[in-house]
Amino acid sequence: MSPERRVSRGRFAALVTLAVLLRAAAASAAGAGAPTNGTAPAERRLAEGRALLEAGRLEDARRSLQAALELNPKLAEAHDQLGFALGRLGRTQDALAEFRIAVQLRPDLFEAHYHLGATLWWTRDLEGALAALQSAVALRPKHAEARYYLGLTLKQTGRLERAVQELRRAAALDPRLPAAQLQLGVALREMGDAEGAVAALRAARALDPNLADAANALGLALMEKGEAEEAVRTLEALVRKDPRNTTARLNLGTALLQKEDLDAAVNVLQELAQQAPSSAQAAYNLGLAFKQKDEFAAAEAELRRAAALDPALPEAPFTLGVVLWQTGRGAEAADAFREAVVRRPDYGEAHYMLATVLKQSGDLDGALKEIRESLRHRPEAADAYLGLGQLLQQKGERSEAAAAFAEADRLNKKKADLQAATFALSRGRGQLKAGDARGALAAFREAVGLAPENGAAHFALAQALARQGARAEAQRHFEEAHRLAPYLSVPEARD
Amino acid sequence: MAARLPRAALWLLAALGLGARAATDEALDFSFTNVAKEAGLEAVTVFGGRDANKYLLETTGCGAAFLDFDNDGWPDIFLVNGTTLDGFPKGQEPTNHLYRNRGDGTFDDVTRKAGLVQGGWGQGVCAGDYDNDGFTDLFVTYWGQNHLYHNRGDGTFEDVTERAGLKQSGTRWGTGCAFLDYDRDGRLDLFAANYIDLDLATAPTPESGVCRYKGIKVACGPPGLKGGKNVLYRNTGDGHFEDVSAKTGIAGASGTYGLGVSTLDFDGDGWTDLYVANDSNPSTLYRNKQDGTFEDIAVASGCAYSQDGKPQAGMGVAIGDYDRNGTMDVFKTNFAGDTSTLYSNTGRGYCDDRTFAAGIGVNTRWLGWGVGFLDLDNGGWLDLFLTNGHVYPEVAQLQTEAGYKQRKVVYRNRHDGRFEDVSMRLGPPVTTPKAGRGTAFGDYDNDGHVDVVVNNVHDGPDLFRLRSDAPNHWLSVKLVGKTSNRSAIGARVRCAAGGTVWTEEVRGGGSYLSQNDLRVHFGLGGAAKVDRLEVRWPKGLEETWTDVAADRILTLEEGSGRPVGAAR
Repeated sequence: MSPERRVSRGRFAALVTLAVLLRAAAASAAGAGAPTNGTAPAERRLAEGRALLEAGRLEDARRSLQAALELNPKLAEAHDQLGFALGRLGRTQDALAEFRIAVQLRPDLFEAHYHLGATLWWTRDLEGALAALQSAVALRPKHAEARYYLGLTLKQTGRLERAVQELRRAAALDPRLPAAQLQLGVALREMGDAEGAVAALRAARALDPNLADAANALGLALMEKGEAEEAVRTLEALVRKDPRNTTARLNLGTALLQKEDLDAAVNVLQELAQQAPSSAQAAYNLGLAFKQKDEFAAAEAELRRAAALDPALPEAPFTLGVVLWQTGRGAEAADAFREAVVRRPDYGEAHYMLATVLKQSGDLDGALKEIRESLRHRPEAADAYLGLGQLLQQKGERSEAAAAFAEADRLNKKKADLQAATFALSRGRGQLKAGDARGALAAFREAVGLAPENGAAHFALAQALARQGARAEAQRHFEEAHRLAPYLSVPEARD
Repeated sequence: MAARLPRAALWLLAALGLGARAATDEALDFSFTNVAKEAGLEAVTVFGGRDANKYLLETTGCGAAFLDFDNDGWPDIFLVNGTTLDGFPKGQEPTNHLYRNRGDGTFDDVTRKAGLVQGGWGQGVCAGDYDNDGFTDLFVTYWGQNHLYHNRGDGTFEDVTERAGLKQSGTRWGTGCAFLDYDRDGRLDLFAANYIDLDLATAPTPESGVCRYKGIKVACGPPGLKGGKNVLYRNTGDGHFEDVSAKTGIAGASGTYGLGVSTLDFDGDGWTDLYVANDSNPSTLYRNKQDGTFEDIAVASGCAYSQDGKPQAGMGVAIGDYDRNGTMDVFKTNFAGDTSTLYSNTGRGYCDDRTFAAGIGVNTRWLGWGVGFLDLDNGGWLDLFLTNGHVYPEVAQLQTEAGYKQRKVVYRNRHDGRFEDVSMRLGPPVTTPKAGRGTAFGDYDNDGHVDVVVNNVHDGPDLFRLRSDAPNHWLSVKLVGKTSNRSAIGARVRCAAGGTVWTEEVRGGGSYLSQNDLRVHFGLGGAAKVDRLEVRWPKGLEETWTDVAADRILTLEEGSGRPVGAAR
C-alpha cells in the first residue's frame, strides 16, 4: 500500500468528522439562501441525517437524507451528506453521483466540491479530483485539508512545483497537519531539495512521531543529503518499532551501506532476505554489501538471485557483470551487461561497461557501437568520450579521436568547475554571515561564472543583488534559478 | 518508498581477481622485521592535527629517502618532517632527520651536525649529485618554500636554495620531486610536482559542511581547489637552476594535483620521461621529445585513467619491469574504495591496464601511498610493497573496516602476469596498522635484500628489514657517471643471467614523495653469475661487462666497460 493511501484511509474517517463539524457550523448560519419549498421539514430530515451520521448509524442516516431529498430534491446539502453516507457504506459510485448533483445545484458549496474531490482522489481519478479540489480551495482558500489533498493530487500527477506550493500553504494554514509536512518532504525530495525535504519530514515527525512513512522518508532524504549516521538512527528506530516493516529494513540496510558499516548492513539485509525472500531489492543490496566486503562469491550468488527474482531489475545483471568483469570472466560479464540493456535499453552505464569489456576482448567495432549507444543516453559522460577517443585512436581515426578526447576534457573541467562553484558559494555564504556583502556578491558571481547551470548559485547571487537594490538583475537570476531548480521559488511567489 | 542504491560507482567495485581463489599453501620464503627502534630511527613525524584536519595540507604526510650521503657504501636515511597549524615555539619545531648508517644495523641522527635542521610543512625528498662533485645532494619540497641542500662532502650540507635560483615568489605546494637529466647535458635538472595552490585564508573548511566523506565533515579538496602547476628547473651548470616549466611544456599537463613522481624511460629511446600520479585527475606522463620539451601523453597512451575511464586519486608510483618484457611498467596507489592501478607498458607507446587481470583488484579498502617494486626472494620477479593509511583521521568515527591506520599490502609476483596478496600470511609488522605515507626502498644492510623505510604520521618510522631463505642470487649495481650525470639517473641496465634478461633503471624520485636507493638491484634466481651486464648511460653511451659474479655490490664507472656501439 502506498504511503499516501495508508495515511489517507485513516484520514477519510477524520474527513467525515471534520465535514460534520463544518456542516454543523454552516447549518447554524443557514438563512435566506435556503430553498423555501418544503424547507423546514427537509431541513429537519437533513439535520437528523447528519446526527445519525455522526452517531455512525449509516443506514438510518441514508434513509433520513433520502427522505430530505424527497421533500426537497434541490437541497444540495442533503445530496452532499447523502453522498457521504453512501461513501461510508462502500457505495462509492453512488456517493460520487450525489456529490456531483450537489455541486451542480450549489456551485458555491465548498463541502460538496471537497468531498467530490477527495472521493475522486480515493478512486484514483486524479484529474477529476484535481478539478474538484481546485474548486474547493477557490471557495475556501484557508481550508488546510483541502489544500493538502490538492497538493497531494498535484504531486501524484507529476506537477511537483505546484504541489510543493499547495502543500506549503496547507502546512502554513494548519501547522498541526503532519501529513502536509510529510508529503511536502516527499515532494521536495523528488525535486532534489534534500535540505528542504529533511526539514519538512522532521517537522512531520515532530507533529506525529508515529508517522512511519515520515520516518522512512526522512531516512531516505538524510541518505541523499549524505547524513548516513542520522539516517541509520532514524531507520533503526522505525525497524525496532515495527520489525515487520520491510521497506524500512531495506532502507536501513542501504543507509548502513552508505555509512560503510558493512557488517551491520549484511546482518540487516540477511534478516530482510529471510523476512522477504522474494525481495529482489534486498538480494541486490545484500550482493552489494558482500561485494564491498570483498566477499566475492557471496556477492555473485546474491546478485544472481536478485536478477532471477526480478526480471525487470536491470541493476542486478549490471552489477553482476561488473563482478564478473573484475574476476576476469569477460565473456560472462558481456552477457550480463547485455541482459542489463535488454531489461533497460536506455541503461547508458551498462552500454558503457559492455563497450569496455568488448574493447578488452578486441571487438573494437562492437565496443564502438556500444559506446555510441552509451553516449546517446549519457551525453555528459566524460568517461564514455574518453573511451570513444581511445577506440577511434586504435582504429586510426585520429581527428575524431582528438575531438572525443577534447570533449572528455571539457566535461571533466565542467565537473571540476562545479566543485569549485560549490566552494565559492559556501565562501559567499560565510562572507554574508560575517557581514561582508561585497565579498559575498563577488563569491556568488564567481560561483555562477564557474557553474552557470547551478540553480543554487543563481539564487544566492539573486538574493545578494536584491539586497543591493539591483532588482532587474536579481530578477533575472531568480528566474534562472527557478528554471534550473524548480523548488527555488522567485520570492514574490512565496507564501 | 524503498531506496534503490545508485548503481555502485565502478571505482567502488573491487577487482576481485584472486580474491575468489584460495591462497597457495606453500610457505613464504621471505619475511619482514621492523627494526626501526633498534636501528635508532625514533623521531616522530608531526603532521597536522591528530584527530581532525582542517585543511588537506594536514593530511599528506612526508617522504623518505635512501641515499649514501657520505659515500661509505652504506645507505643512509633521510626522513622529512612536518608541523601543525598551531606551530611550535621557536627552537622546538619538528625537523627533518638525516640518519647516518653506521654499517652495523644502526643509525646515527646527524641532522644537526649535517646542517639539515629545518621545520615547516615538509613534503617530498629527492636525491642526486646535481653538481657532479661526487656527493649526493638533497632537494626537499614544502608547502611554502622548497630547499636545495648541497652536500659539501664533509658530512655537512649547505642550504643553497636562493643561490641556486630556486627561491619562489610565493607559497607553492611542492610534493614529489626528482632529479633527472632531461636534456642529456650531463647535469641533473630538477622536477617538482605541485599539488594545490592552497591559500589558507580562503580555502573552504570542514565547518562549511560542503566537504564530506561518507557523511562526516572533512578537509576540502582537491577537486574544487585550484591545482598547482608542476615545475622543471634546468641546471645551468654553475650551481644555478633556471625555471623552464613553460618553455619545456611541463606546465601544460592535462592533469593537476600532482603527488608521486618518478622518472622512467617509457618509450625506451634513451631520453628520460616522467610519470606523475595526480590526485583526482588523470595521471601525467611527460614524454621527453628529445628537443628540450615534453608532451603529456598519459591520456592518449592509456596510462592516465582507470580501466573504465575514471580519473583516480593517484598518490604513489612505482616503476619496474614486472612482466620481464623489457619495458618499464607503472604501478600507482589510489584512494580507498578504489583499486591500485597496474599499467603494463606494451612497448608500443601505450599502456595496457592489467589491474584486474593481474589480480591487483582484490583490495579496495586500503588507501595507498608509498609503493615500490622489489624482488622479495630474489627469485627474479618483481613483487610489490604498498604502504597504506587513510587520509582523514576523522574516519575513526566510521565503522569501516580499514580505519585511519592501515596495514601494508604485499603482492607476490606469481610469474604468470598475476600477483597474489600475501600480506596476511606475512603477519606483523606487515599487518600492523599504521598511518603510513612516504616509503623508500633500499638495501640498507647490504645483505642483498631490498629493505623498506616508511615515514608514518604522528609516529616513528618503520624500517622493514627483508630476510629470505630462498637460495637465490642477486646483484646490486652502483653506477657512476663520468660524462653523464654522476648519479647516473636515467641509466638503463640490462642484466642477462641463466637465460633470463632483466631490465632496470636508475631513477629519480619514486614511490610517494620519496627517493629510493640509487643502486640498481637484480634478483637472479638460481643464476650464480651474470653473463652480461649492459648499461646505457644517460648521455647515450652503451657499455657491457661480462661474467660478473653475483651476490655482491658492484660499482661501474662510465667508460670502464666495453662499448656496444656508437652513442645515440
